[in-house]
Amino acid sequence: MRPPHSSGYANLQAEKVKKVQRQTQIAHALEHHQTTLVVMSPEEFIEYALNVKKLHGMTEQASRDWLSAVLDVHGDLQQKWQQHDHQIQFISAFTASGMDAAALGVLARDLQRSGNTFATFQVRYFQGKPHIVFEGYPGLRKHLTGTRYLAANPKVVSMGIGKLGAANAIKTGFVVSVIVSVAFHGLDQLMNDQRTWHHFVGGVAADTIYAVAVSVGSWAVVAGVVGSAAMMAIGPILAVIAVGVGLTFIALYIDSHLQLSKNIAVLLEECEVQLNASMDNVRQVKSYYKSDRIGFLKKLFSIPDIRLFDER
Amino acid sequence: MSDNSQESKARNLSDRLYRGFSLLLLLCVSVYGAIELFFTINQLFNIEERPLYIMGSHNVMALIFGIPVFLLFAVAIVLKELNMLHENLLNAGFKMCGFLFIAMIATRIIYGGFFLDGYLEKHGYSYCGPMTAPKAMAMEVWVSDPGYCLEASRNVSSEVRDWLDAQMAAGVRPTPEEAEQKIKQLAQAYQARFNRF
Repeated sequence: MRPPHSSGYANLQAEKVKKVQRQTQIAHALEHHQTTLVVMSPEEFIEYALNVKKLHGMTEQASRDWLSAVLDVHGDLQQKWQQHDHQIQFISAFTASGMDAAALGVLARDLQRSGNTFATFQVRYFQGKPHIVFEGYPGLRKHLTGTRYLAANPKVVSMGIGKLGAANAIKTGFVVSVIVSVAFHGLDQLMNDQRTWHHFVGGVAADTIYAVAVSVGSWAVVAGVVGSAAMMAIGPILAVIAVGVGLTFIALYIDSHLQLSKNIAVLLEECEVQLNASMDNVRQVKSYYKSDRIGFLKKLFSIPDIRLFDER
Repeated sequence: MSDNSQESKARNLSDRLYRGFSLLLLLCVSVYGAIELFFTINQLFNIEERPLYIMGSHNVMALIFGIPVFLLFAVAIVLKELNMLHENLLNAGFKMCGFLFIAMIATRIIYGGFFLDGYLEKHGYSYCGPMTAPKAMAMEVWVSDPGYCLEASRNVSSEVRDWLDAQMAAGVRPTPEEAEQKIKQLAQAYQARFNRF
């Protein structure tokens, strides 16, 4: 028998209380996150929406006006999207380069403060580790206030300085391009009734292929030139932007002839049709098996239907 | 010792292959860009032949300054291979690259923003949004007759262009009614394919 006021007993009681509290919390969480899923046809949904408006005190006419206004807004949005979709994608294709250009602007302004926009840096080794040493007066700068930085210093890398900075800018550019592509094609599918998942997957796949090609190409070119012991501080990021924009131009011109996204979408459509046809065949075989198992097995193993005695 | 020398030889070889690949890429890209540029300029000069449609771009002329950027990097790679890429030369190259990049953007703004649309409108062409693919840098389409540009061609733009090419090759200029009929037919065929899902 455990003495009632021992520390072990107190711990046990505390654990019990904690358990009850945890169970109460879980019960509350489940209660709050309970969701009812209702499947409706478009007609049922419109009727439901009109009924909700009527319950809120709208007249029949007012609720119908509200619905037509909502549909008009949607139609206008669709029309505007279709008018400006390629301009939106033009901007989205260069979002990554725009971000790099912003980093270049910050770096150039900082270097200008210390005396020269085209100031150089040198790679020197201290205690066996590569460091970046900038020209000019660090006290006048706003961001790069130190006299020297480790080559892998996050501030230096994020501003696109040196080989690591160039690699980081290219990597970030690739990730941004993929995210922007998913967002663009998702919106395109929402705004265009004739777009299916095939167009979404085809578009994102094509954009990703081009983003990979541009990133690899940019890295190959920039790494081939950048990497010597001393150079202009804004050089690597400038090279990434110029080569990246140039290669993006070229990749997208090639795509206007190849139409990779459209071809992938068509390929996916054909695959889906063939898959559906195959599934139909499987279903037919399954129903044949259920209706005549012996006949099915005979057909499967090519067993001849031998009748030894005449049943008549 | 021999291991070290073998390792450095292998590194040299991989560096050279890497630079060779970069050089090849830059040259291919420059040649392709130059061809694209040539066809665009050629099309604009031969506008008096009145093609049924013109495929152009607000951005393509920026390649006039984009191609020298690629060539600059190609030269830098060759100089580095020959151990002749000194700090001053590299920094001068970066400066030139920056100026070319600014010129590229300025050309895009002047040519795409102020020149192209006005020039084509002056020659009787109108911009056709539905026939331009919703892609950045996609070749944009201007048609000689607004009747060729229908909303229905949005999903069948390449098929419509193929048909217009065939008509042009046959020396026929279709009427807007014929174009409307054909575009609707192509759109219906697309819709039938779309309805499978």
